[in-house]
Amino acid sequence: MISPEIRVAIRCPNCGAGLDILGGGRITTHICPYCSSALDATENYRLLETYTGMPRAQSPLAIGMEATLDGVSWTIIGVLTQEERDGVEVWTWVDHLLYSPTHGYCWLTLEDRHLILTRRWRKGTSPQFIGAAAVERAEAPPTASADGERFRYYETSTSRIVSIEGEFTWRPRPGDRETAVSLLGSSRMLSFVQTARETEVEMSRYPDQAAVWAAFGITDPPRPADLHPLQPRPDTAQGGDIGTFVKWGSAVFAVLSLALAVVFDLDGGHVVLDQIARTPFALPVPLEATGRRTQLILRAEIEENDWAQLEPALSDPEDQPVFETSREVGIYSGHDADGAWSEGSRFTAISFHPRVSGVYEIALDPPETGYGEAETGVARDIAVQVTVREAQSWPMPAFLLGLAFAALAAALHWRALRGSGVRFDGSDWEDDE
Amino acid sequence: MTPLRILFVVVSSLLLAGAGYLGYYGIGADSSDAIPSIRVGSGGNGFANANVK
Repeated sequence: MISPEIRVAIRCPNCGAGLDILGGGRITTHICPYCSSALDATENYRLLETYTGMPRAQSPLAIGMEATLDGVSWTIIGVLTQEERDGVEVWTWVDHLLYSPTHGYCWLTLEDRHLILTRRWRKGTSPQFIGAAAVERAEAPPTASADGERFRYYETSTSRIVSIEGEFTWRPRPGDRETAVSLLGSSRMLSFVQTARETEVEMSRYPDQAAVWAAFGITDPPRPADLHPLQPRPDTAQGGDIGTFVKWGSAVFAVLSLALAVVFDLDGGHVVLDQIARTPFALPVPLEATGRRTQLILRAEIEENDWAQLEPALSDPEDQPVFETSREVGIYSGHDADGAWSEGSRFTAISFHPRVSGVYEIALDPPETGYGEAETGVARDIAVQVTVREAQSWPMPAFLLGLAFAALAAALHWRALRGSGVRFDGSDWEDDE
Repeated sequence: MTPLRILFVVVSSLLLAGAGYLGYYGIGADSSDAIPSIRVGSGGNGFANANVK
């Protein structure tokens, strides 16, 4: 082993390039970035082999860059490009091996312009390991728990190494394959990684992208085009939780509004007149609740398949007309191929606001009446039940407001569910079924 | 509580109070044909019932 305190640089035995030694005591292999020669860090950097035709990693981050993340100093010591192929589709990502003298090693992966931090997970999981074969046998998405968090199966990927440079704690070779079974939790991803020689459990998280890029001194970082499954959804992002508050707040206000509508609906006001009279008539109506809604309800005592054109006229205490209007009531029933039917009503209701208190007068002349579908009728006396309620509440505004609040709460809930579901949109579970 | 949350609570409370005011007084509930300006025999907004001779 080479202590970084003693040796800080070597010369590549193949190409002569100067190579900084950055990676600490567990480094076993150093790949020269210039000639792609693998050097044995445990045996005085002797030449192991040279990989020809190896491409360079495509990343704004390079070996030797340093950053302080969450108070810990890290240095990029190795860069490794991995590739996964499925038919004609190819996915590539760049793993940067980071070293801290106090915190050891971790991976910073650049995938679809997203940065992901990954560390080996030593605390244990339940189950201990999930391999690709177990996923194939599973009838439902496998789940696991770790550190009190529950994870659900997301994907299985088999990748191979296509480029290597820098220092590593093992000896990576171009073409080396690894299979990772990844499970997604609420904010982290648990991966069970299997290579030809070992198995490993890793935990990944989505760091503050801008902070990481800035910490490495990258002023114009690549901007992701899509959301990463580990990425916090916009409505649940830290400091942006207003959506959840508005959702529950809207639900509370919906309940309050609808409760108010029920109260108003049950408030029928005061009955100031309830009388059956035969036309023509003029009845006194004492009204006191000015400014509030008053309702005149007329129920015509007509036979089945009969109609009447009621023309009530209301005048105020000074004999000035409040309204004169015309309403048709009719009740019809019969039988057809679909069975018995009925329609219409004997009732009509008129709402108004009395402007002064006093004794009003409701007058009704003999209405024009007819039978069935007759378009013209004859005036005849009929009995009409006249009911007047004053100080009556109106539930419609509170009801509509309640609906609006409920719709807002439902829309925000749907968006949250969709956001949660979107995280698993990229899962390959359905593809396996 | 953040300003946005306070704004939401205040606006929602005002809307609820407004709905209560309209509902209690029945503002907007008047029948369209129950206003003095409507001519005698008119069917109001429903011209199907118009009865002007």
